[in-house]
Order: sequence, then structure tokens, then C-alpha cells
Amino acid sequence: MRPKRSDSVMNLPYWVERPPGGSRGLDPLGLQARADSIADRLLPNISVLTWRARYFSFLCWARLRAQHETNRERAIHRWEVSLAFREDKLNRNSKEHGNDCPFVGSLNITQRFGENENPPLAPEQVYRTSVWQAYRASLAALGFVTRGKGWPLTIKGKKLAQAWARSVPGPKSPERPLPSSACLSEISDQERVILKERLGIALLGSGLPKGNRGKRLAFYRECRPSLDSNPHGILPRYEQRKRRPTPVKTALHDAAVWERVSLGLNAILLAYAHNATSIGAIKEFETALTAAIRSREPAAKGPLQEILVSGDLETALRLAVAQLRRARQLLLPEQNLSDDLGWARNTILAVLSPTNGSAPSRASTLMKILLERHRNVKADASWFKDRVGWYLTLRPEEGRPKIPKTAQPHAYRIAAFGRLVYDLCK
Amino acid sequence: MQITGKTRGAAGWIRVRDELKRFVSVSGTNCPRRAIICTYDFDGDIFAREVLSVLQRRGREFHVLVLADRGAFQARPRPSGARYNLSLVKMDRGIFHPKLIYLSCGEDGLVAIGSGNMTRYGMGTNLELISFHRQDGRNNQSMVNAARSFLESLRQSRRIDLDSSSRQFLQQVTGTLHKAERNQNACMHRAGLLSSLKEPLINQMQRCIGKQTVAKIRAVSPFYAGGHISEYGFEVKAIERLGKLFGAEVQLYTDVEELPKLLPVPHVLGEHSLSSSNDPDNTGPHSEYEQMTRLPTRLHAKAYMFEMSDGSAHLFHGSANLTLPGLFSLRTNVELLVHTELSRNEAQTFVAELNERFQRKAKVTHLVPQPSRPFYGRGNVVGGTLHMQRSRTVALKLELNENRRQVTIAQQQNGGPVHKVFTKQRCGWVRNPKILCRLKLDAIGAEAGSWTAVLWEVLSGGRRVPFTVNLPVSWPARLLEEATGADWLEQLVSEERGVWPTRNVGQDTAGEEEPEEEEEQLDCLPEGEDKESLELAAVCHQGELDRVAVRSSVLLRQILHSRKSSENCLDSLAELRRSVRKRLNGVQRGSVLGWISEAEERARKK
Repeated sequence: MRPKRSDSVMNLPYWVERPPGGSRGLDPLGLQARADSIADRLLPNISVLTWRARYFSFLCWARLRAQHETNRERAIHRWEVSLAFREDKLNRNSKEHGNDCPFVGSLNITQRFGENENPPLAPEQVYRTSVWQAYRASLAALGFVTRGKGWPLTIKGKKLAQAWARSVPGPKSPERPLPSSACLSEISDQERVILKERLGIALLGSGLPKGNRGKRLAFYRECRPSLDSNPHGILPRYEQRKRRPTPVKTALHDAAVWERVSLGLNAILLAYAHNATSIGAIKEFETALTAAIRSREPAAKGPLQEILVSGDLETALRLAVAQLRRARQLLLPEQNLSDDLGWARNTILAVLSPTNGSAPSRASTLMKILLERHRNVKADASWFKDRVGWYLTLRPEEGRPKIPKTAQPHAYRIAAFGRLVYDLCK
Repeated sequence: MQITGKTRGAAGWIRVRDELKRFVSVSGTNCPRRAIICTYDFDGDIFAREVLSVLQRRGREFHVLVLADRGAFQARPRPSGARYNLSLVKMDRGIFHPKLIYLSCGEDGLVAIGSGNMTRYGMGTNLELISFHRQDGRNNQSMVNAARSFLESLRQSRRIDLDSSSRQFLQQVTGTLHKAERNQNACMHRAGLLSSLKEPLINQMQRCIGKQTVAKIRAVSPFYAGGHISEYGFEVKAIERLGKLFGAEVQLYTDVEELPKLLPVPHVLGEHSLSSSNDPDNTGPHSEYEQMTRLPTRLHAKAYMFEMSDGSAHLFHGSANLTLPGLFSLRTNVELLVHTELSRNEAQTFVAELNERFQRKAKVTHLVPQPSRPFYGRGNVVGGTLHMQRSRTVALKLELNENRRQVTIAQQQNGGPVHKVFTKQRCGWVRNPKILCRLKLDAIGAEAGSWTAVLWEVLSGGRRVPFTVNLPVSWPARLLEEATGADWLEQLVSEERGVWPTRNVGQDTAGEEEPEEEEEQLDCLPEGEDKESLELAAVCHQGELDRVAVRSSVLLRQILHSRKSSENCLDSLAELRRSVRKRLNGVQRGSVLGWISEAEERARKK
């Protein structure tokens, strides 16, 4: 009884290949740590995720409502989805509202649940990670909840919850969308007063804990003109003007430089990983990098995302080199740089300095430095293994890597804070 | 301990998701679409990421049933809410150990048989082997039909405790098997699929090899003597028996450096292992590379290659470990192996791949094996199913594997309220909506997006073991017991068109009146209105007949158009005829059977 096999049957079985690892590699060189440390100096207790002010009050209220639930987090999550459904309905009624009032879960609701009148019973279907999880550390740092089991509300938190409840009467069950007054943009005066005080952007009042308040106020005064209109325009101001050094101004200047450095270095590394499929391709890449360093043409503008999608190596290199040149101009000689920024400056000088060897050797030096740097970033180990690790041993038979289509530059906390201020001060 | 070298040899590397995606892209438009996954251990998250995401593409959704071993699930319950059903399989002895992915889209099918469970490790973290077999249209000797035969024998097996809804779904999948394929063993053997359900695998392997002289046996199998995995590893006796049975030397390929002190049979001694001590690549910069790249670090593949004296070989790979319960015993584990005849070149390629990945071990450290016994699973509840009652409310049906007066169930593993359910004839019902609400079964349903929930059975000592509660796998089956004929046909049409069900479990079916209630209302009417009410009833009856006519017309047309061959059409129509005889009564049945006869004539002409 011998099997007779059809052509479709493969004679030898396959080995199972492991799926790609979890890290998306948005920060392959581990530069985010430096950006975070700058943001910690300027904006303690706020993260890039905490960018809508009314979520603070809403979550306090939801926590109060979920007090007696067995699974509190899930109960809060259901209220969050209920709010998201209301926002979605408002967005459908008014396009302007949609542009002005972003909320968590908007994409999924529009695509998958747009026709549903009521939220699904399983909130994880709308979005997996709840807003509560993203906000609760900030809520604790701002004094609205206490760290510990269940994250109980403080007296301030209860006051904020009551303020929200007064402005949004009537929600009884998360099975239906919340009333329109729950919209994230419809923040009431009572909530506004409490939040401004705790966030440290009220010029009067006790506000933040000791130590943080002074920095926050100084930062707020410094950036107030930009925050209200265009939070993304803060850093360019500090690139261009040399201002009297204060801790806040120095940190802003650091942040501006760091944005340039990280964008440039990430662009080079990703362009390298994208194009280096063999020894020949790597040499070609180094030649192109050298040409880009020598070139005096104006740098192409555009975010990193566009470079990777288009796959235009030359554009990537021009942008990277332009960013690094700009960063070198911004580095002040008398500045007392931290280790990270010092390392970046040395890297940039090694590449761009006209006296430091020939251009091709500088290009390969830069790549070596970057790869070494990458190797030491523990947080990105899986990204390194997945993509760059292939090229270290130059094994072209392993195939070309897949670069993620979206690789955004650092989401900086200033922008998140800007949105908070916009919510509270508009 | 490292496995070295990752090159694209003849066997090559493949990502399971890619292969499934390719199949769904090409054949996914055909209907009905069904998927059955058999696995020992199950991780809902990795399943959702690697497999379910492919099977739930818009417009190409599959009805998915996962069969997992009950003991493995109870040891590590990892449920994950999504649109698939999870049924736990309890064996009278042994474990449910096959690893099978079966997809069918109309007449097309894909089968993947390998060694990897539906876990992160099984998806490539371990070294696993897998083979894909595809079928386009009817081919009686294909592996896809063999897999269906295996599923059919699984359904019929009395050794396996499986809830009725899953059995029903299995029947739907295997229902269109041609009569010639009903002889399951013969069908499976023709295609080269061996299962341990009815006969020990070793006997079938012997039959496959025949009277040819075996020169050498290469056995690739993991070794679990350390006892950290609740599964048998290979055993000394199994190695002995394998060698004696075929009168050949056995070379072991395994992943540990310490082997048990074997009985005095010298050729059984493991000659190869994944030792790092003699690996030249593990010195210098390469060792760092090896750590960085994504090579598997533990062996979980199971393969047996019987080399003949002329250089050709018989290769068996699949789920069976080199153990007594895996290969030699009957009525223990359920296992699957794929048999392939290799030419001289193919055999050499496979040996070269093995030699590339495994290093010869110079010295063996003796170890006293302490195999951990697998956990067979406890509890009496086989599974729960949500049913819609005539009153349009939901009820939970519990199925037991033995007669008991009552079982106690709870919503949580620890604490929380418990509920006693009285049972009769191995079946218990929970109809009280408040209790169902307390059991959190409101989060299960088509709208909620999750078709499986986990409840806990409270055992006599207070210990709790999990079991799953499902919506019935196949949408037409959901209203099977209570729906009208038109309802039922409507569900069949949806299934045939591959339309994703949209109704929630507890949702009313608007516009459909229930015959019983209607009769009661008629009884209550005053005498003067009798004539009018009779006319009304006649109109209602005519309306129901019209609906049945329209739906059966659409259904028959769908079957005639979607099946490629007339033979397949006739099979489907015969299956439909059987269902209609069971489901419909009176005039409805007569009419629909007449239309089916007409359709059969058209199919024959086609």
C-alpha cells in the first residue's frame, strides 16, 4: 500500500519560520530615551498619550462609577467605548468636529462599527488597550488617584468626577452612547479650573507638587504663544533664536537639536537597512552617502515616513545629512552636553568634519558607529535581530528585510502638552 | 545547546501564515468556508495573530473550530475572545495530540500537518516541521480528503468526549465525503496520512514500508526526561522496539546533552545531538550572530526516516513523539503522521539538512529519566453551548461525559457566586437570564465579537477546572431546534453564500411569528371571528410557503453555480435532501424535495 502522490504534494516538509518579533522599531537607535529625559525636565507627569484634557475628568467619573464592579478596568473600558461612540456620532454629523476633536478608537469605530447604533458588549473589539491604562499614571502623578490596588480616587479626583457628572447628566448604562455633553471638547468651567491648576498652567493657585511647578510655569510662559495656535512650532523658535540661557530654554534648545539628530540618524540607519542586501549594495550605499555628504544642494524636506514608503535612498540621505548639519550648527560649544548628546555630536563631527579622513571612510565610520550603537540598544534587540542583524554577516541568501511602511519621527511630549493647553485655554 | 545553520535547502523555511494567506487569496472567494484546527496546546493570542487574522479577512470569513486537548488547556487556560469556537477534547486515555490545520473553501482545500502546536513556540520559536497539501477540485487520493476522513473518524470515535455542536460541525465538514471515501483508513492510507485512532502507528508504518530492507532509521524527536513539559518524551523501550522491529540501527536527533542510561542495546545510543561543545561556529563572532538571528533554540519536530539499501527512503513526520503512547500503543494518544516516499536525492538532501542542524555528540552523560505524566484533564462537563429558545431568550446547555445528578459551575476561577445545575441524561440547562447574566455570558455573541467563553466547573474538593461555552459553530445550526422552515433555509443560504452572521444570540427575529403562539392566539379568538381568523391563518401559511420557495430556489441555484463538478453538486444536494427530510414537515417538505429532484436532474445534465 504505497502512497501515490499528486504534484501538489511537496515531498519534503518545511521547517517552520518564526514570525517577525514584536518591536516595530520606531526608535531603532534608542534615541527616544534622550528625548524623554528632556521632556521629563520640561513636562513631568505627562506622556505622549495624555493629550486630551477631558479624559482626565471623564476617567475619574468612570472610576467612581465602576467602584462596585468586580472587573473595574473592563467596566471603565466600556464607558470609554460608550464615549467613543458618541464622539463618532458627532463626527458624522459635523466634519469640522471630526477634525477638531480626536479621540481614542476613532479609526476602528469608523471602519468596523460605523453602522452600529450602540457599542458592542466587548469593549476590546473597539480598541484593546483602554484609555484608563494610558492615563492612570498621569492621573496618579497629578493627584487624582492613588497608586495601588484598584487606583482609588483621591478627594481631588472625586471633585473632578463630580464636576464632570454635573456637566453630563443622565448616563446610566455603557450599552448606549453617552450624551452629547460628554464630548471631549465640551469641557466645563469647573473641570477647567481644577485641571488647569493641577496641570500647572494656571498662573494662580498651588497646582503641582513642589519642584515641578516652577518648571512647568516657566515652560508655560515661554511657550504660551505657540501652544495655543501651533504646538509643533515651538522647537523651530529655539533653533533660530539664541536666547538668554535658563534651564527651560536650554532644555528646549536641547529638544530642538535632538529632534534633528534622531531624525537624521534614524533615516540613515533605516535607509541602510532598506538598501543593503549584499556587499555590492552596501558599497553602493556608502558611495551614495558620501555623495550626499559632499552635495551642497538644499535638502529635501518631509517626514521619515515618506522616505521609507517611496524608498528613495537619495532623498533619505539628503534629508539625513541636512538634519545632521543643522544639528551641528545648533550645538553650542559651551554647552554642557549629556552623554547621549555628546555621543551624537561626536558622531556628527566624525562624519561631517572635512579633516577627518576621506569621505568614503567617513561613511563607513558612521555606519559602524550606528550599527554598534544599535547593537547596544537592548530595548530594540528584536528589531535589530529582525532587520539589521541579517546584514552584519552579509548573507544575501536570507532575503530582503521588510521595513515597516510607517516609521514616524518621535512623538514629542510637547505636542501632547500643546493639545492639553489648547483644550483648556481655547 | 544550539541548533545551527539556517539555509534555504530543499526543505526550506516557511511561515505558516504566509501559506494560509496564499490559499485564502486564491480560493477564499469560494463558499462555504470552514476551518478546523487540531492542536494539543493552544494560545488564543498567537492564534488570533498568526492564523485567525488570515481567516477573518473582509468577505472571506471562515467558520472556525479549534479542537484542543482538555488537559493542556486546564493546565494553562489562555482564552482569547474572538469569532471562533474552541472545544476541549477529553480522551478516555492518552492525550489529544494531532497538529492539523484544515481549510476548505467550496471544493478547494488546504491541509497543514506538522509538529507545532498553536502556540508561540509551535509557530517557529521551536524547531518544527510542517507540510502543506493543497487540493483544487475533487481528487479522491488527496491529503485534503484524507484529512476529512480523519475528522470523520474523530467525530465517530467513542473514545473522545466532544460537545454535540462540534460534532455537528465536523459532520458538516465531512458530510460531502464521497461514499468511496467513507472507508476512512483506506482513504487515508492512499494519501499517506496515518492516524493512531484505530490502529497503532507503528503497524501502519510497517505496512507502508512493506518487505523492503531497512538499512538505517533516523529518528528526530524531542526529549522531555527533565519533566518540565507535561508530555511524554521518547522512551528507552520505544527506541529498543523500533530498532528490533525493523532490524536496523537507530540514530537519534534530539536537543539535549543528557540522555537516559539506556538498556544494553548499543545501536540505540544517540549519535547526534545539538551540542554546542563541538560546534566550530560557536566560537568567534559567529556565536554572537547565532544569538542574534532568529533560529529556533529547541527541538519539537518529530520525524522518522527509514533508509532503504538502495538509497531511497520513507519519511514519516507529524505529531507522534518517539514514545510508547505516541507510536506503539493503541487507544492512547491521538496522533497524525504524514508518509512520504523520498527518492535517493531527496533522502540525501534531508539527511544533509539534519546533519547541518545537528552536531555529532562525542560523549553522552547518563541520566535517570523522570518523565512527567501528561495531565489528562478533570471535570465532567464536556462543554457548554448557547441555544436560542422558542421564547427568543438564550439558554445554556451543559453536556456531561457521565450521568450525574448535578454539577456546580462558577464564572471565576476563585471566589464569586456558584450555581448548581441539575442534570438529566448527561445534559443540564440553565435558562434563568439572571444567572446567565451573572455568568457573564452576555459578552458572547455575534455582536460582541466573541464566540467562546470560559466557565469553571467546581469539583468535589473545591478545585475548579475550566470548560468552554460556545455559540454553535455553524450558523444554520443555531436555530436548528426552534426555527421555522424558512428561517432554517435562510441560514443555509447565508452559509452557502459565505455571509457572516449578524444576529446576536438574544436578538429578536423581527417579523417572524411563531407557529405555536399563533395557534394559541387563534384558540382564544371569539367564535364570530373564526372565519376571518382561519383566512388569516391561511394567508400566514401561504406566506411561509412563499418564503420557503424563494429561499430554497436561491439555495439550489447557489449550489448549482458554486460547485465545479456535477458529482460534487449531487453530493451536496443529497446532503440537503437528508437535512430537509429531518427538518421540514408536510407541504414544505414535499415542495422542497420536488425542487431538489429538479435540481439533481439539472446537475446530471451539467
